Amino acid sequence: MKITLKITSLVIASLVLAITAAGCSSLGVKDEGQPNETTNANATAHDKPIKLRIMWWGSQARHDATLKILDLYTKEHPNVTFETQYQGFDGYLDKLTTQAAAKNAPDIIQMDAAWLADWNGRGQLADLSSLNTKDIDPKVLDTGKYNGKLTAVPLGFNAWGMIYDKAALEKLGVAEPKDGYTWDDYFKMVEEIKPKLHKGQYVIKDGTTDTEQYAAFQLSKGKGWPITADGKFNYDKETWLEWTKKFAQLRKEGVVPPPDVQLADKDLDPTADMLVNGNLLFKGLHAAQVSAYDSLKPGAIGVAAMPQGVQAGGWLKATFYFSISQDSQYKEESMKFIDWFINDQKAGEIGGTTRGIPISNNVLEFLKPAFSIGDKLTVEMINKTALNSQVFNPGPPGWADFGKEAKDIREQLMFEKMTPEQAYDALMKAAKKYEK
Amino acid sequence: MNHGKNHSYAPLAGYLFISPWLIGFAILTVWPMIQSLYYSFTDFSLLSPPRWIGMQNFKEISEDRFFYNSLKVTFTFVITSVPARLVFALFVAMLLNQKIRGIGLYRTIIYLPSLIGGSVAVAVLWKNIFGMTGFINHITALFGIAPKNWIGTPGTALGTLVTLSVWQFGSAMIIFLAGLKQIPGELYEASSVDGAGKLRQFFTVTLPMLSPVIFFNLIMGLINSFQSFTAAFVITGGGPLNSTEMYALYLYEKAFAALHMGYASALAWILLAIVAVATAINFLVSKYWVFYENDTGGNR
Repeated sequence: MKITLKITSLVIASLVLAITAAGCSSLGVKDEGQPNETTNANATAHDKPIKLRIMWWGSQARHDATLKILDLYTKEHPNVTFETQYQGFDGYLDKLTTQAAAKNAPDIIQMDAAWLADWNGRGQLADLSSLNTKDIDPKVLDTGKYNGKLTAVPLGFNAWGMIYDKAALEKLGVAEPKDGYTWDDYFKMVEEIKPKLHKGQYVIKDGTTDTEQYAAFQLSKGKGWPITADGKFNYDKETWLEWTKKFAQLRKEGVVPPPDVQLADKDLDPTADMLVNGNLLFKGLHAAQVSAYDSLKPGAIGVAAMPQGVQAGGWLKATFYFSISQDSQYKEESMKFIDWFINDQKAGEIGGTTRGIPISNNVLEFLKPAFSIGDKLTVEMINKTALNSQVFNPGPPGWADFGKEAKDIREQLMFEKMTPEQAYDALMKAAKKYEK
Repeated sequence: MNHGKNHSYAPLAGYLFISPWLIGFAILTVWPMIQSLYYSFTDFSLLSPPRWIGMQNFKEISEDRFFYNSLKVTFTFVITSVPARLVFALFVAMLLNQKIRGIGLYRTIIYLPSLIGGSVAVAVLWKNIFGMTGFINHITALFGIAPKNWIGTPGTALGTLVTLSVWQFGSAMIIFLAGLKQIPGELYEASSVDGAGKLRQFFTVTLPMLSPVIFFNLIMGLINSFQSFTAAFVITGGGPLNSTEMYALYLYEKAFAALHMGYASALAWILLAIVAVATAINFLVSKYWVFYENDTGGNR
């Protein structure tokens, strides 16, 4: 009994500690917020100490670079410091929305194209029209506008393409995919490679659950996006059956990993990424992630555009955006920072291609001579895709919940609990709720 | 001051003394509950004001296949993990009830992991243990079994979560241990004089004497398991094929990923009703198997 008591008191003591600590820190934040508004109100705007809150997602390389850029900004503007929140992509939006609901969103937010419609619709993003955007390609800049007003400024160029383990292909004596290769070439190559691999190695992933690759496949047939930008169900039945039956066959032949192995694959996880640990040869990917792969597997990565059909498969897009929260107290200071972030050469130098190819042509020209291998690969994928590309579709607003249903249906198909025909009908039925 | 006056002040003073707790309870528990009850009849996206829609949420829930799936998953989890954890906790408690040297140290060492058992860190550890290159696959490889991704296979994913739940036996074990200490030694002496062996003693002395403690652990375990969230969120994220999408996880997804706060509030109230009914049933059934010391067994 004595030991029980001891342990109980230990638990209670640590709980109390934890609670007090939590209490203190939340008080601490408040304390920092207050003086800025009141005591320093009569100081000049220039040296008024300001703490900007900024939030982004990404890989370690992007985190490191961003923190360095923020340090540089603080050095040049000693009155501005940053409170950072950074993480991987999973759970980012949940956290952000919860903060926004509490009117406590960070001042500067990294935003994805797919969320802009909903956020703009609720009027949560501040007007960025006064930013200096003269070095940005107007076509890309327009993707950040809502009703003609700039609310999100693109940070880099990106493309949806293919990476592969170049070193492994060389060893196997297989030629790398050529520019303009077709899906037929691709599947033929994949089946040729399979017999040369060891047990536990696979050529490509099972595309049954991959929405992006399927979109690329359907686009290449000239049948448009599976869900159109204006919110219509547009899965082409014949294309869907061709795609899913092809992968059912590849699954049977062991060209693609079995479902449980596939689900363990996690992009850019040093131990769980199958391409990094040598168990996979090809992967569909965004160009902005290529340099991170190069750092995990130096010198071994090759890039290609998506395979083609009668049309191109891949697409160009902006990587993502910076926006300013409508609730921010420091809109002007945040704007100044973003302006510097996209246009300053030193900031661009530190950032490299961790947010895709720098969006400012001026910064890009300055950086080009010093590009690393990873950066060059990113450029190469974008250039290869640019030869022949589709117009990006961020997805219609209000379809966020469809993703869950579609994922479930696709997984059931991958685990062979459904036939491709049933999956098609299920997708069509699920989409009915969201079509307007 | 006279006695009468003192007497009339006593309740007020009492309430004053517990007022910090009462105020906290009112503001942090009762008020949010009332709010969520209101939200359950609204369409509320968190970012725009709630809109009254009556029973619409409950109607939609009754047609929601993910709701039924999460119920199935949660019940499977509760029915397997609660008894398994009780049995395991009792087993460990009996081992730790031996009179050997340094037993205090053993108790501490064995209890220690449970202090961190429900945490995210342990869940991440679990994910690695059962992962493709994890510890479990190294063991099974010794027996010539091909490695598999335990958390990525619909048939075994929930099992890994049940195992983790059983491994978090510590608090139940401590309570069992305290209960075991309370059983008078005379009962064992008397029964052994009557010729009862160890096994017989366990079933006729230990279990009945321990039944109030078992009942307490059962109720607490039941309530906790119905609300289980962390493990599923961190380890499997509800997959594969939604085979580990626990009720609380689905509720969280609806609330914070899909921003259907009203729908999620309705789900929360349904869960409350389910837990209440399960607890009530247990209390009713308890009459037939729980013995209190002043009990004569006449209830049977």
